[in-house]
Amino acid sequence: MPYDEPDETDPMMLIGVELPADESSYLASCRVFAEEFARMGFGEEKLMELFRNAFYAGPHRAFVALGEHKVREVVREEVGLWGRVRYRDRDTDPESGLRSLPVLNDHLSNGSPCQGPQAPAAEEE
Amino acid sequence: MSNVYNWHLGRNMAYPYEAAYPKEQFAFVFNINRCIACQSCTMACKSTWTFSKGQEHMWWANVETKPYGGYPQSWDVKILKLLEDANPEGQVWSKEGGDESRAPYGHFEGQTIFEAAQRTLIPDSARVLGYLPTDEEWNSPNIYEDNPVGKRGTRNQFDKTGTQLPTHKTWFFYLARICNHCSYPACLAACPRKAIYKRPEDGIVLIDQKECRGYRKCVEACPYKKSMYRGNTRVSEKCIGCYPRVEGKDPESGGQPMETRCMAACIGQIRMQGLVKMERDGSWARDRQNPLYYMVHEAKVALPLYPQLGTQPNGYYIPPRWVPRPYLRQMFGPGVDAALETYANPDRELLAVLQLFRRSNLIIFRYEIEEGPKVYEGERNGKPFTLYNDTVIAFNRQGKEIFRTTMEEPVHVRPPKHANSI
Repeated sequence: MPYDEPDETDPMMLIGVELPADESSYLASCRVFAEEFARMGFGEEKLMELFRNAFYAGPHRAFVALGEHKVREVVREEVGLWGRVRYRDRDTDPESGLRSLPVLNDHLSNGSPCQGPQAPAAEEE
Repeated sequence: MSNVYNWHLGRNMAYPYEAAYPKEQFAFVFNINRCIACQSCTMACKSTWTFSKGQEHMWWANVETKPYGGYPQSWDVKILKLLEDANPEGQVWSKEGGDESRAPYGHFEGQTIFEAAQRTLIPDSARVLGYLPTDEEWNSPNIYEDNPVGKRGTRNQFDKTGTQLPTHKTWFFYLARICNHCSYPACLAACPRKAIYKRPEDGIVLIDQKECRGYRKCVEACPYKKSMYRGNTRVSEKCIGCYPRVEGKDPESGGQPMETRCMAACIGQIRMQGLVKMERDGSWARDRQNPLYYMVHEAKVALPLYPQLGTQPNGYYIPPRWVPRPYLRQMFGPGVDAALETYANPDRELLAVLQLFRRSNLIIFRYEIEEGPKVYEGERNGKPFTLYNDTVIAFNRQGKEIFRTTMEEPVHVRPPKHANSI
């Protein structure tokens, strides 16, 4: 993590060159984020929260560029298609499968995503 | 120079040696839509094969951050520039399509690194257009990766809300790379001692460490810069395709061909490696149910990296779909638009084949799909989309089932009392 001002005499210093991306790139990246997180179990509102959160620079950039309406449309499509995620804990729930994953549930609702998910409390035996 | 057929280019091209093709060819597909640059592949390779003093600079496998990064720095920009200088404005593809297996991407009308060398290099013994990277360019395996800047004067702490971070109008993606074990290797063509050879059984390209004298002609010639000179041993080295695993000699493999360490370590499940059958003319024998053949020749979602260089690399990439098309066309050739259209709107078979990635470390030689019930019907991307919970079954070389997996495979999690016990 650099803390100093860029040294222009450093031959390895990144020289900014703009490689423009159009709206189709934002739309594609919006769909990729929505699909990946929907496949990990995020629901519509949780995904929208992720897009709104400036900490998530990529999704948020797409959110700003495309607007809430378009992002929600994409999110709804992807959650509809991929949203039937089942979590199976083979030790305690070998067959029925349906259970929630504490890490994912807590992730965006703990108010400070940058601190990462909290470790779930151990279950009583 | 000989005249050999390069099906990536859809035409014959000049190459210093007569064409000689292996029985089977080591090949792989990387779905870089899903690469997160965790570098598990990089470290799996490094901890397995490179050792002792001098290993610090041997990154046979690496993941670099595009478009700015590269290892060595700017390797692709530099070789593209050399070719452009040799053949100004001539590095173009013709739009006409060709025979499916002989010219799937049309015809390349420009010059390869072998052809450009014939016209531009002196002396005549110079066989391949290339360059030797500087020491500085070899210094940083993943330069310009995510490089967040914290608040000035505050170390080791992110901004609490993220709103203070600089906003970049930017895009990037991670490009995972190993040696492409090319069909027409530039390293092999350039070696004055013939210390580099391509194995007839699986097409893996190796440097004979006893024969190598460290002339670095291979380092100069390989356009992907995957041959590396090690200063303290004074010889060059490169990815060996984990050939003992591919031969089935790893104790874990049970005698079956097994994928390389970098593939097996991929937690993003972006990688699949296998062996494809070859025709005598160097094209891939039709093997419809081999997942690599399917992705490269049937669905055409996986494309070679910089095919215009002319080495016919055996690494194939599913391009990242958010990246501007002109950049991708330069990197993966004219097949990009069709590949991304197919990947963004996959059919039933492609969805099933994509489920095969990283369910096993054994090489998959064949797959079959058992149809399952319809689980979703709706619209996506402005088009109707139907999802079926199909089962895809993978088989080994002997036709024995390795595993089966469904489209809606449950996610297996740790029990609560061990949820975070690592």
